[in-house]
Amino acid sequence: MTRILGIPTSWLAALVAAVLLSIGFAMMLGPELLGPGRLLDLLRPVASDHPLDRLLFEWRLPRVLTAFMVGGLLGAAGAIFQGIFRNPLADPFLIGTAPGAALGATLALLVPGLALFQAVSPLLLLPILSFLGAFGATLGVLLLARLARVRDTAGLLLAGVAMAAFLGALRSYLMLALADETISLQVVLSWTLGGIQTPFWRELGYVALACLLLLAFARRLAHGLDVLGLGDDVARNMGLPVERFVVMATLLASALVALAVTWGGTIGFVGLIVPHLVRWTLGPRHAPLILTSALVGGILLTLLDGLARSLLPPAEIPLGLLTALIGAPFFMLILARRSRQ
Amino acid sequence: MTQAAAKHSPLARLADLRLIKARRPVLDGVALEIFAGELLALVGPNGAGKSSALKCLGGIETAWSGRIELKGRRLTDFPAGERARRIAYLPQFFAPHWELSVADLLDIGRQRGLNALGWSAVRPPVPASGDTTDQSSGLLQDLELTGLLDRQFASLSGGERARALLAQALIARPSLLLADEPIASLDPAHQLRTMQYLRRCLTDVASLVVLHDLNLALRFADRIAVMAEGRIVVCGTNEDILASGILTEVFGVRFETYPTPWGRALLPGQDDLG
Repeated sequence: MTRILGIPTSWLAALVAAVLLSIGFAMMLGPELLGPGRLLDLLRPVASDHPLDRLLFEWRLPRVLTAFMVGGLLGAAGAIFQGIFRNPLADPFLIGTAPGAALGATLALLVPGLALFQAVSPLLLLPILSFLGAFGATLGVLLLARLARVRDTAGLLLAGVAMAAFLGALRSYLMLALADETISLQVVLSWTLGGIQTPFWRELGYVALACLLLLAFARRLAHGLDVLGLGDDVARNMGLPVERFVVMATLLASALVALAVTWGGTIGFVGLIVPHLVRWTLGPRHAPLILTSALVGGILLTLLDGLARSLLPPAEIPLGLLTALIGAPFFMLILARRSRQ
Repeated sequence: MTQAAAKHSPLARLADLRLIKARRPVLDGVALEIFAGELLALVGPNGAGKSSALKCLGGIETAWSGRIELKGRRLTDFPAGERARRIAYLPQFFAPHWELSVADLLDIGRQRGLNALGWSAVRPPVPASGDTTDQSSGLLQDLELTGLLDRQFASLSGGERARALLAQALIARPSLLLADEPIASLDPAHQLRTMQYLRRCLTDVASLVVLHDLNLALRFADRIAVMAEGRIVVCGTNEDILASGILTEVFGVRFETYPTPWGRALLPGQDDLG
């Protein structure tokens, strides 16, 4: 069986086809549904100033691609966090990473001085504070668990759940205390419920570049995560500096989550469901797991975002609501499967 | 083998090794030499510090003081990856967190020895073509694992697991194997077979094996080191150990010896206290 990037070639081909199909399908979805013929018209290299063409090119396509990237980031981050926590139930949303990122984003948007800076440099402040929030929250969970001498991974997860609840409450308080007429609560709320932003093409380029860089680094963690899964003693004997590696992997996964939260708010369960599905089909080795989870996460969120845009026109359904509707039952399914084993 | 090996300088040497855990001295000046190609059994009562000594040598415990040398060089002078390629460790309890197949385990074991960041960028030097496959297929045949490669580790029997773990530790060809009670949870037949496998695989690997079963130690080890209260009390050939009477002193029980086709065997007799 030939493999490319650790993924069996046939799987990779199917995944790439699915990526293209899902992007094409999501382009048809929206308050105004389009047929495939209309979509193909767009591919003709004739310059058109038709308003619908401009709408598709300047609004819908960037939105669809952003949804794909956010899903990819969450899928890959989920795979890494599950590797770090050595528990298939770890999810950036459940363990406090995404709530931490959202708290950082809230600060960036609502604290007056920062908000001013935000207006100056929107590309930087939001992701940076999101990242600091994400990294601080996750590292906080790992440190607290260590202080409390929590040794099992289930206890670690519970510490994450507590952290997520705490940060969520803190953020709600900040929203109530800091928001005024000048700053729209609506913007902040969209982070809470999850919803894909539509970037300009130039911004999209930066985001895509960041995604590729982060994924390339993430791929390098794969072997260390494999080794970590053999237990601390064996991992140390095999040359892995366990503590340092965990901090580094957390740093990287937090960066993935921060970027995802910056452009999509807190979207739960993608990081949980996707690595699970991939593990069922491709096995638990992290090199194929991380990359495939990124692709599958991208496909899933592209489709769900399309639905979110088109189910209740002209309103948009918050994306986090859709992922929770699918993800929560799936979570129960995983629990049931595990207890049966 | 022992006498021939003893003429050379030791592969590994521990001197005045001390380890304190929770304010209690776990290792209290361990001194031990391990020679290339020998199977050195480490025996002693529970809590004597056998596992801790193994963990210091395997790079798992790092807070020790004293001196550990590998081929005359301080262990702390080795980069983690190089140390990892030379010294492999088999834990007493092993349960991977993911549902790995035997082939997965071997593949991870093959890449033992990462750089300090745990990235896969630095790989162990690749031997000349054909060498790795020949070596590992020989190992897999010796351990009768060729038919089990696609099986999940969790679905293996105890004896199969012991063999898979042994292969995982040996596949990158370390020069020293540390095994912490590799046969503790096996039935007598599998204990015997696993010790035979161990013996068969260790032609050019030295091994330090913690054993609870004194008779298996007597039967399979080249030398035996007896440990008590954080020190090596006696280290010598089987005859030395039997003649010294140290086992009675250390274990607090008198042993009767019986002749067997492969040497003398021990059976605990009277309790010193009773």
